[in-house]
Amino acid sequence: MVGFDFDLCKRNAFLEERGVKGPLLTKTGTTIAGVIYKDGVVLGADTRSTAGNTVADKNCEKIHFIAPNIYCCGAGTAADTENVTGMISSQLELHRYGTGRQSRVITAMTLLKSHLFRYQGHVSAALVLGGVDLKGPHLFTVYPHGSTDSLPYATMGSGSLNAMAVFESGYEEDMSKDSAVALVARAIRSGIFNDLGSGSNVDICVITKDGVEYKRNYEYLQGKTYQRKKPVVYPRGTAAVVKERTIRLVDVDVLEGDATEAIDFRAGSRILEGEGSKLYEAMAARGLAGCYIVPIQKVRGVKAAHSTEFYEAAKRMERCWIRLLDSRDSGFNSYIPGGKDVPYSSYLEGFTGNVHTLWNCVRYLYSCRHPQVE
Amino acid sequence: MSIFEYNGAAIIAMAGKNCVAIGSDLRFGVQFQTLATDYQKIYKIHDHLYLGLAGLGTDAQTLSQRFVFKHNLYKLREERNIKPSTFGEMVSSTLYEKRFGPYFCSPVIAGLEEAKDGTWQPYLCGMDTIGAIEKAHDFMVAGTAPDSLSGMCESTWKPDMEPDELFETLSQCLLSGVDRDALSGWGGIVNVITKDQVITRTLKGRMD
Amino acid sequence: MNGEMRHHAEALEQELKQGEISLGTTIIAASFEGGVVLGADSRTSNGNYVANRVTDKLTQLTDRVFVCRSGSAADTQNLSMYVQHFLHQHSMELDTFVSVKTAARLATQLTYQNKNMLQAGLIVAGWDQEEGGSVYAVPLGGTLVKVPFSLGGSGSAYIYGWCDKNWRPSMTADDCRRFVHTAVSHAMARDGSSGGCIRTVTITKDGCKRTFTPGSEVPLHHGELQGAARTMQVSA
Repeated sequence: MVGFDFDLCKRNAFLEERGVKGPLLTKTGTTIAGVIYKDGVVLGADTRSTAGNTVADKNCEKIHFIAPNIYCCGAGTAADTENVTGMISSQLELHRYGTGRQSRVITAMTLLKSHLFRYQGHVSAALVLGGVDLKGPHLFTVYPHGSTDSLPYATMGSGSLNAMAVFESGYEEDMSKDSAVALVARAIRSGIFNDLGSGSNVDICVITKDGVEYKRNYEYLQGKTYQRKKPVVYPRGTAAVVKERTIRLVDVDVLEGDATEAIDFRAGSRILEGEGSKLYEAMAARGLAGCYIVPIQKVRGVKAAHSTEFYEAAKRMERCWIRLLDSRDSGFNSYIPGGKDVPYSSYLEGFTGNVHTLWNCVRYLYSCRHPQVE
Repeated sequence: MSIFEYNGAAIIAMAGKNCVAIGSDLRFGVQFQTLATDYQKIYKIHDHLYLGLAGLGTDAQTLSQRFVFKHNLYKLREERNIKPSTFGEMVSSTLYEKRFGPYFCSPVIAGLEEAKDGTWQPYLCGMDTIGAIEKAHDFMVAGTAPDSLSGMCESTWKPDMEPDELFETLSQCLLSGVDRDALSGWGGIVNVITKDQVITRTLKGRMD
Repeated sequence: MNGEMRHHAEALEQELKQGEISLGTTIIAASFEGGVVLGADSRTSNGNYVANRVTDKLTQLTDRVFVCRSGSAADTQNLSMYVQHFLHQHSMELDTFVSVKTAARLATQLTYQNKNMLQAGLIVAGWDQEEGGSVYAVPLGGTLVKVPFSLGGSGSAYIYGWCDKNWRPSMTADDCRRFVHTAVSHAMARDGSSGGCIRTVTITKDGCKRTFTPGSEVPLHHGELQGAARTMQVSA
């Protein structure tokens, strides 16, 4: 369970007392619904989220994953529905690791209601929870205060009345999958078109004992209605620029090992060791132009220079430590103790770590031998 | 007065083709009194990840410092930079921790993330003050004039813009968006992030 | 009024929290020779909206003890969960069935200790070896009273007179069930916050038996019209 932090409550209450209004929270006005049919459960949701009167997101996801056999539609404060479902989902995952059994819908329901009841309605999540477990299909509504209902068809959110009207007239026991999906889609549509808090598209999720079909944007009702025939193009230089600064980013992640192999190994922060010319070619192949190669051993009198200079130096080496730097990062270069016979690489043989860590090691080793420097 | 209107801000982030841009206005004020005109609301997390914080200035500073701190810890543990999407989740949980006494800040996150095919794809998201993530494939706005900012973006954004065009589009949205907002403006700053460079441009705007 | 008393008085006057779901209800439990019958309507409302028309307000606590719930749905459901939990533990320690009195005592303790937080009116009823069928009323403040029969919820006001007149000691199980059923149907006819279907549970030494009367079969009373022949499609 999340532990909430109440540090700022007093300050915020003080501000509110002085007539400063708190911020708007993102709500999901929402129409969400679900039915039990012959072989399982169908859940549905609209995709509008709002902040005050503004549509915050035109295509958000309100059907949340709980377990591989359980999903949950959320209405209310967006952050609460997102976090409460996420939290229960992870509790159930741990429970599954412990028991080695499929999660049960009623377990999810009990965890949800206990959490919501503990916060006395302040965690405002109104949920339609559905799933299939060893006992068959289940559908629950969960209210923010922690009460639950077990129902064959259920709706929630500001559009719940619209959706319920559709269900009350169209629900039948033991429907087929197609007619259940059609009914839920119709219920959500009636929310989308008649409730101002709901809008955009229909998401559907069908859960059976054999698996889940998550139909994101099952009905794409409200795409962009207007598209400019001639898109606005602001030519270069339209905005008056006072100052411009370009930072060149070169990959500072370097690898250890054989040069060609190392270059293929894309991710990770490693120091690269290898024959100089090969390294350079490999780097050039990756498009790392403008980088600096810093050979630590055997290159003397070269403190900092552009890649070509180092390239020449590197080519002469059999093996070297290198680091790729961008132009801002001059610190490394200036500390290179060129001309001194300090075979750093022997200290760092086999070392893997990111360049900053490596550099700190180099500096430490160097300062041990030359205390006057640092 | 809403607490969001105490200092004022305008932030836009936009996605382009293998690039992303994020910009803010430069005004810092206390209600209607302008105190500084070089105050950007964008914070760099690492080369490919920027964070915009609109809302109460004091909270924005506190938060930005907490995120830099958290990212430093992340780097020590993982020896790599944080992915923008992971960072988004981290910001969200940091904000939700204060569900009942929130920071008065709404963040906008813009970054580039390496996709499975090796290309660098934009990542964009925004949040309310308690961390409800809103992912976007096009643009994200925050601040004291969200309606005019999103209106501009809604009509001028188009998919797959190259860095230069992205910059001009975002700049126009920002400059026009803040024109009718008394609490933000006084020029702007825009960062255009691509795989191998970040261009930061300071914009000239109306100084009134 | 001293501080604590005022606190308690305020607690009793406290209304439902904003947006809270309420069991604006009719509940009843009546004892007879050798057992008890519990009855309830099935309406759960959220303001003017019927949030659930097939609610089950009769919750099983142990093998032979049920509770009728009225007030806040969240409070009574969670309270019942706690009572179930503790009674289960208790019965394992005891290695026998717990008595109705114990169940009722536990319910009062929880309601009384948390009365400033809760909006819960309960009737605990069941059968045990010591007392036979017994009914315990646990109203809002957390009092505990043993009674021959008890009414609760907003609908109860309409049927006190009728129940006082028609309840007799030592009815048969059937008579008692009919008494409960009719009482609830009268309350549902007059109280806007009660309605839907009628559920009853009869508890004797032999076990618990539920009945369910769909809305279409609830007896009509003065002024009520027969609706279109429509069977309820929803069952328990």
